[in-house]
Amino acid sequence: MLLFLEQLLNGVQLSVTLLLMASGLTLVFGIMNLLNLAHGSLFMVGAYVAAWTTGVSGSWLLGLVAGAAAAFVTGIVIELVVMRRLYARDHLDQVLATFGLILFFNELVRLLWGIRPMRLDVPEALGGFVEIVPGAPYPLYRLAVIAAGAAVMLALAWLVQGTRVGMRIRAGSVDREMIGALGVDIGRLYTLVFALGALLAGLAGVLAGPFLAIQSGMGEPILILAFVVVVIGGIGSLKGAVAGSLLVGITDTLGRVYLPKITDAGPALSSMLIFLVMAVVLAVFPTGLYGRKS
Amino acid sequence: MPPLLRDALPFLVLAVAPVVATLAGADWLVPVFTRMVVFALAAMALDFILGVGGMVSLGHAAFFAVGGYVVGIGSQHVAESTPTPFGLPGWDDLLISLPLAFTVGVLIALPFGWVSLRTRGAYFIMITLALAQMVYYGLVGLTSYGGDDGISMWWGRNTVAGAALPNRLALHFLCLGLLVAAFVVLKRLCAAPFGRVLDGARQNEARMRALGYRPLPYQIGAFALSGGIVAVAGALMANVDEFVSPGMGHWTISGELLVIVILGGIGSLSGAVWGAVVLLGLEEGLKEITEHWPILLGPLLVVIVLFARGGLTGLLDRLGSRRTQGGDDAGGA
Amino acid sequence: MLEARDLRKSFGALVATDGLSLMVEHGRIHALIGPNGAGKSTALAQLGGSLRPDEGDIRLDGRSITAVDEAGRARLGIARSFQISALFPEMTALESVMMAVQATRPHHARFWRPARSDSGLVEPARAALYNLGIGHLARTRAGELAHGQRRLLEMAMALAGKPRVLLLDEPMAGLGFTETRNLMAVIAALKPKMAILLVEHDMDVVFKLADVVTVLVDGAVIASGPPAAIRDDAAVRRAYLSEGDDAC
Repeated sequence: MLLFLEQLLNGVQLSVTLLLMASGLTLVFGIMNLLNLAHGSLFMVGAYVAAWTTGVSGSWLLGLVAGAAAAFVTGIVIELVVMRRLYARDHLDQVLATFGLILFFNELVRLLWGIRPMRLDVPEALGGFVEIVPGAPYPLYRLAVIAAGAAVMLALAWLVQGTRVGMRIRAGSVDREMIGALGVDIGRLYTLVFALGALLAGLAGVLAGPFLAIQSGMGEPILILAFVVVVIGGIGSLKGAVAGSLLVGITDTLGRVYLPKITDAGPALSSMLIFLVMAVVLAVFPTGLYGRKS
Repeated sequence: MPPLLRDALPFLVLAVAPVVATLAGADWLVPVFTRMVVFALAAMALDFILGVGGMVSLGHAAFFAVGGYVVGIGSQHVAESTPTPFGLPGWDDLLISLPLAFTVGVLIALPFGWVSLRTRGAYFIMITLALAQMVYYGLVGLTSYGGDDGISMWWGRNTVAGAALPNRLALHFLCLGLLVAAFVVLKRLCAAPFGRVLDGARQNEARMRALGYRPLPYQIGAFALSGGIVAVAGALMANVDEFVSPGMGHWTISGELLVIVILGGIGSLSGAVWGAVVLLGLEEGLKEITEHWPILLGPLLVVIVLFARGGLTGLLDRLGSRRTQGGDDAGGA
Repeated sequence: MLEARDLRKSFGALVATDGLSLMVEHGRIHALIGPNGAGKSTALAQLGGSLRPDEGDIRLDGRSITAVDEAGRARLGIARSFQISALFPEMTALESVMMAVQATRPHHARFWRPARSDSGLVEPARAALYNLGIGHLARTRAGELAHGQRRLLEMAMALAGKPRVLLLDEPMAGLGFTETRNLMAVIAALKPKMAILLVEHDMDVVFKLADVVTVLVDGAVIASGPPAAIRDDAAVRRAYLSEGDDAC
């Protein structure tokens, strides 16, 4: 039972990372109709810059800020240089161009930081354990990640639902021409949305950094999981992203712990589990749990 | 350029180049050309569903890897003299492993196609990617076949009808023969009612239904055929490299196949051969310049997507039509 | 003969079809009219099979086809033309009509033979184009045709399978005076061979062509009968015709 509770929390923590990734993907898709494979590269940029900054300065907090900021700036740059030329293109062109960006970024980090994986340690202040229930110590840092992720998502929900900018974003996803007619600078709005998604991806990279080997190509497995989340939840839906990431994060974590205890094929099966879940969800809901019916 | 020459030229290039290389004493170059042939075969099968059927699959690496493992697993059991899981003896002859790879590819592509084709557009892309990732993890989990490391076929390539292939050039022409055969079959299918239905569904699926068609079985069938051919390409790749690993199913392979199709020009089938020659040639060339070659290739892809639509075939057509002023043969796939 | 019995369809709170019954008989033109948003297209979609009614029954020659899907109904002989031309933009006019001819034949037949050299496909397709006066456009791509030509190709595709029932969704939309007159002659000539349901905004066309007119308002039938009776019906005048002049 204690193991189950602990693994459940681990699942929620993975969900938070996925949600930070998926919300950016789904916003960018819902509003700009852009399928961005390079979203995982922003995750990687966040993790690398945070690890490097922390290593050089000794300050974890500075690393956090630098990682998120680096992803944000990278987001602005690639939006201005590449992405905005892709909004009107079909998904195939978007896939190919962002595939090119992945090749570039994966090689760039190798060039800058070498092929050996980097490490990002848990910050000292959060290195301890807390007893959530008596006799079950749980790492403080993981709890902090869950709390931070939840806070960021609440802020995002507030931004989209409750502010002027959010109103424009929602209007933009419904009717591009109308929002243009209202005198909103649509180009700047798109840049902002894309950079916001990049910031969230970078943040996810920093927060998940201590659990991962920080190396070239680290963004793609998480990107594919985030795709599964978006597909399960329904493209363009933030609510769906929340539901999808909880389903994927918890299923994946629990599967990895319990399936190997049931069968010898457990390790392989547990890696495949969430994809099977996705196939089942799609068989029932072809546009995801909260997707728009076509 | 006349259509027949346009179609035949890339095949001719791949027939002549390895012979010239061998005569020039650079026979280490032959596998480079064979890789082009194998990737052309896989990309052509992808182009069949993408260009004609409008299905953007980002998961074809899965079938490539599965085909490779059909060869790897069969020959490992022969080399170790152990029975396969179903009690059958191993296999290490292309006459068995190629049809088997095709069959297994089709059998996996059928359910994948069924699930993926419940959706369209961006969903389809993401789902094919996810399903391929599932296969990738499945292969990593095959611990008795090397897990992460895969299978090194130190015992050598498959035989053909019991006889060993004499040299790399023989293997090359075997692959090239299969590529030509696939081209003829797929080209013919495009012009036949089967291909017309796929093409119609790509252009206007609702209208097809109103005319009395149910496109889904055709689309699933085309997806399965495509998966089977890509698995054959994977089986050939295993024989070229004498090595298989989960890396064959890595999603970047799916991405590369798409790039090849785009470079060659969507829907032209023979364009996939140009695409493979150019992309793999480019990779080899860039490797000579720097070990960090993807840092050049990546931005190059972005530029191609943004500024050179229609691919190389489109470019050749544009050059050709400028010279002859029209003479376009309407129709075709 | 195509018959709808008490069809009902709603989207959430919106009732799009409210107890619609009508009968389209062989050799007659049945016009379905009504103001914008009256549910004409929704009704047509249910008859064609692309939309399933919540309640009610659809019968073809007395046999219920409510459960038959769109493709199945097309094969039973119900053809449709679309309000916004639904064509295959990259196919030539001839190839497009060949698609329609091929649909009516057993599917596995000549799996392997190139469609282009199959005279069983080419000849009927060519004939369908000539019948509508666009034979000279056989080699032009559908995407490159002018608007009026697209409407005619749309019609040729619908007719290629020799249907028993023809559902026409505003076939005159966007046509000029001469084009409208020509298409009216085409439709009138088809009348003896099939049952035709015509959704049309142009009242001149409706009253000249139709044998029966059904008026739909808010998804429900408010009147049905011969054109002369409909023209004089007080309820119709109030609900529709008086304000219908600006409809185009």
